[in-house]
Amino acid sequence: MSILEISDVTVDFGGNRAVDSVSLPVEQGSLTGLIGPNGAGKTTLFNVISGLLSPTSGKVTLEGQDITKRKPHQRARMGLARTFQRLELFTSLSVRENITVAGEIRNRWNMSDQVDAAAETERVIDLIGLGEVADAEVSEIPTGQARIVELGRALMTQPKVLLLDEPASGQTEDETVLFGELLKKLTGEGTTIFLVEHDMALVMSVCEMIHVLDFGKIIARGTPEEIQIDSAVLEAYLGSQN
Amino acid sequence: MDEFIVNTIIGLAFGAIYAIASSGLVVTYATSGIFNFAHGAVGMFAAFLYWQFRWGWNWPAPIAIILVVVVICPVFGILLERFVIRGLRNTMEITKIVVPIALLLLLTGGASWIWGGTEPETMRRFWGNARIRIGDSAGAIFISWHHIIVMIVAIALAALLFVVLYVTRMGVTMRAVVDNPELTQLNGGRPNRASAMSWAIGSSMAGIAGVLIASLQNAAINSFALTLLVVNAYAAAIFGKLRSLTLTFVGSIVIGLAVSYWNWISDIGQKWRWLSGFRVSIPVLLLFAMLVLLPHERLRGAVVARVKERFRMPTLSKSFIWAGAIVVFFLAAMPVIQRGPVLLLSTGLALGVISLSLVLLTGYAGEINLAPLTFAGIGAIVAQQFDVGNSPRSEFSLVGVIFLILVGATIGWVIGLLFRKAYGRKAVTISTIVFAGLGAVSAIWLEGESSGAYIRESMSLTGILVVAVVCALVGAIVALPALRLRGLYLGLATFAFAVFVTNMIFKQRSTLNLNIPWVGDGEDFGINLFTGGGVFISRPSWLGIDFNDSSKAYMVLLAAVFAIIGLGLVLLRRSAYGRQLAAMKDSPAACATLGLNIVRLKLSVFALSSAIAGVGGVFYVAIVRTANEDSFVIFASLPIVLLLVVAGIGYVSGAFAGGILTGVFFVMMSDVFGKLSADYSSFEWLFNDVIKNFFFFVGPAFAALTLASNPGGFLNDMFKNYRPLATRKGLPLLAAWGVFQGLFYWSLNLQWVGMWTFMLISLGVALLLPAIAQVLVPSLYIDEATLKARREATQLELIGIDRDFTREDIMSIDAALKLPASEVGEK
Repeated sequence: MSILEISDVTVDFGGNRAVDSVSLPVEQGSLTGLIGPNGAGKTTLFNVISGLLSPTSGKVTLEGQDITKRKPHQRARMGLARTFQRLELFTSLSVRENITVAGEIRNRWNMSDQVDAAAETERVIDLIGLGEVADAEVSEIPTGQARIVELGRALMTQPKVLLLDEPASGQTEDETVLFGELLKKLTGEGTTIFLVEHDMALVMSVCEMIHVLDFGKIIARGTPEEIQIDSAVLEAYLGSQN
Repeated sequence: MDEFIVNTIIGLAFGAIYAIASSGLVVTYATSGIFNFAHGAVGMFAAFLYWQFRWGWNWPAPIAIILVVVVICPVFGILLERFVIRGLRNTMEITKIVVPIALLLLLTGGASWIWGGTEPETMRRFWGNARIRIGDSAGAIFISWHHIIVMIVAIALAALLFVVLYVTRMGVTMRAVVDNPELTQLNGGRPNRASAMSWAIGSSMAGIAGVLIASLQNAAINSFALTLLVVNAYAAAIFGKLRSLTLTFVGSIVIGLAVSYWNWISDIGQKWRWLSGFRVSIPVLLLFAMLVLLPHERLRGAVVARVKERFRMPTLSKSFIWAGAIVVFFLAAMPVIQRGPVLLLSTGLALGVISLSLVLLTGYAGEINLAPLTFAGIGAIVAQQFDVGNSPRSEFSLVGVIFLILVGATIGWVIGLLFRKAYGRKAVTISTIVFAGLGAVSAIWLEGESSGAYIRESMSLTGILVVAVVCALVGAIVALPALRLRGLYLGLATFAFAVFVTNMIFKQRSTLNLNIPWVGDGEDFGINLFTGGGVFISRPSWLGIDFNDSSKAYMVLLAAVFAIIGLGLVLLRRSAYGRQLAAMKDSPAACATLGLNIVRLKLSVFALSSAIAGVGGVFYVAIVRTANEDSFVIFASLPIVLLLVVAGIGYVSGAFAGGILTGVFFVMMSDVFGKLSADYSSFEWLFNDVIKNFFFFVGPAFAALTLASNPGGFLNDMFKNYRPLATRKGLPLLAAWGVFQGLFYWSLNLQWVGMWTFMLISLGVALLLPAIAQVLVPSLYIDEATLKARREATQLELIGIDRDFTREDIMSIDAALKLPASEVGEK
């Protein structure tokens, strides 16, 4: 069963169609990828899923419930979390506080299942491997690590579905490999991950299913092996063969 | 019918003036992204200049007009753009709002300075009262030439503006700058020149509007009233979304007609006495409504590279020490201080408490409120209603009833929450309503016992609690429609709210009689708000001390109140709630995707902040036991906001310094120089006319203009030099200073030195302390420098760009990479 289902979503910015009747399922417990050239509409689609943007038409369902009209915070409470491509860290707070506050926010809305925010913070920092910079200001750490802080912050809400918007950009190759391991570990624990990423090596190595977006339309979908030889994908990335 | 036509024409004339003013505002905002809060003040100043030329010096009208509108205003606009506005690019939002406000105060202060004498500046209409007659003798209508001229000028200007913007090359560049300054530059346009041009045009239009509207008054002009009159045009500019000139014109006409028709219906405010302030409130009400209702685009200039505005987290132990130090300082001052300074310092402390409300709201949560004194005034009214009650006819005090209902509702809500898990949300709602009802019933019973209007000889603690609850409620109600707004728009909304409350409540002189059907004699409630022209609040009598007897004791009480609320804010900032506020300030979007209901958090912080302002207002009024409407107007609020931002809005210490600056420093400086001029009469022109008036009229505004260079506030910079003293190494020096100060204070008590000498030397030593430390213990300050060097060294990729690549850099890189030392780089 697909935990997250996007049906016929269209987004117009003025006369410009950024997303054009996109439908795609994200299976429960899977690690699904979304790739496409710059400006294909990936982040726009993420904004629609997380509720920051209302689609012109179409429907988003989470665990079978229609959430198209729900507010962002209501979706988050249903188990949807995300990171941002253009970093949205809390710059007044340290790395540790950035993560703690997410737990405290969770405690605000999840009355029946309170977590010990401080203890949970240490667990998450350990998990994402940021112990060394935990007390640094978020403006002082490199972008690659800042993206990991965003991941840690999202994890504090104990999400069912995690939307990651280019989490690996700015990371070194070694870091990316570790990051891939981390993603696999998270899906192993039952979190569904929907990943937008430009690093093909990462996407091809961790994703089970990949959707390819170009000019707002899905032009291909399949396993990494299928995508790598898909002619439409090659054309979108490398230009027309003719 | 005739009256309808006359009122329509009057409305159209006012609308035409608003159209001129608001399109000037739109033109400047569009090309620079800076909302010129001072636009109204520019118009006001131009009107005064025109008065000076035309009526002061009796020049011919055309020359006066041309000089003001075609020469002075455009030049002022260009200078403004060049030296102030351009410096505001890439600064944080609060700076972008505060600097134009400083300009506004500079102009209103300047006008009061120059034209503040006793003789009125009387404006007359063009062609005096000459009128033309329309229609035959039976149903003739008379319209003054002035109204007609105004409309012709507006239409002509609109046509001219259209030609400039759409036909000339400069106009095309100006419109291009709106869309993309960088691209315009790449295409050979000159964005800076276009921007300067637009500010010249904008100032000129403000000037024309000011001159026209001031002459239309046909009476003496007042700088603040005139500024507000032009501010009315802001609503029209918002209606045009700060972009569309056509919509701005439509909005202006609507405002002009609305005011004119209301005047007609209400018989110039005679019909419903307690609504007499409504006429002047219509434009600000429309402004509020348009801000709330119109969907607007994101504010321009939101993409800022990386603004350094991070406020350091206050540590707990230091906060306790500071809180104690403030109270001890004022306790120590008690025996030696005189009455005058006591009242000044008390004012500073009370304004500090009011400023704390903004530290919470703006410093911690990133929301903006330009009108803290409005909430302070509401708090004062509530306290008076509760503690004194000034209506002899009122059967029971309304505030008392509201309070008991609120108490009931709160108890009900809490009880409901306990049952929420079992019975769901309904339990909360039902229990809240039931207990609120119980509160209402108990109110009637209680009031029946005591027959209402309390008259106490001192402020009560219950009264303070009531003030806090009522102000929190008012704050939440104001914030509710404004929740979508941020930054500039929120600032404008609070500005509009302040003007509205001033007109409708603080200037309210009539009793509002309410009739409950089938009960009583037809005038069941009589509510007096500001009937006597002021509020009256006694000081409290707590802990066995009657503060009514001692101003000095009251000053210490104020210091304690400040310290307690300040400590509370520090604790709040360090709590989970404070972290959530900071998170909301930094990224509302991220907060929402973590499941935070931003609406509720904003409401709560607005409520809390308003409660602090309200309580501060009560203590503020009680200093001299009375305050009139002028204490709470927007023009009194703005300097507080300005100086708080200058001192550092992110810190409790900023509120202290801001309050002292507003309440003490500028008043004292003008006082000192006033006295000096009395002593040295030959220098009166310098001491009195220049320096004293400078501090009195424009000091705060000048202080705020320094913000462009130091947006974090000056206190932070000052403290930086003191911080090393608090380390282990600096402790002996700090102790030595403490001993010195103690001995010195002792000698003051023995009257070996005078009060002024003591103050001056103490202040001097305190200010010189870091310099002395640097000489005596140089190692204290080296740490900071090496730390800085280490910090710079980590950013290897910037070496060679930010500074030259040195041999040391190569060596350190070699060392880091474990390479054999290279000889490259020796020049």
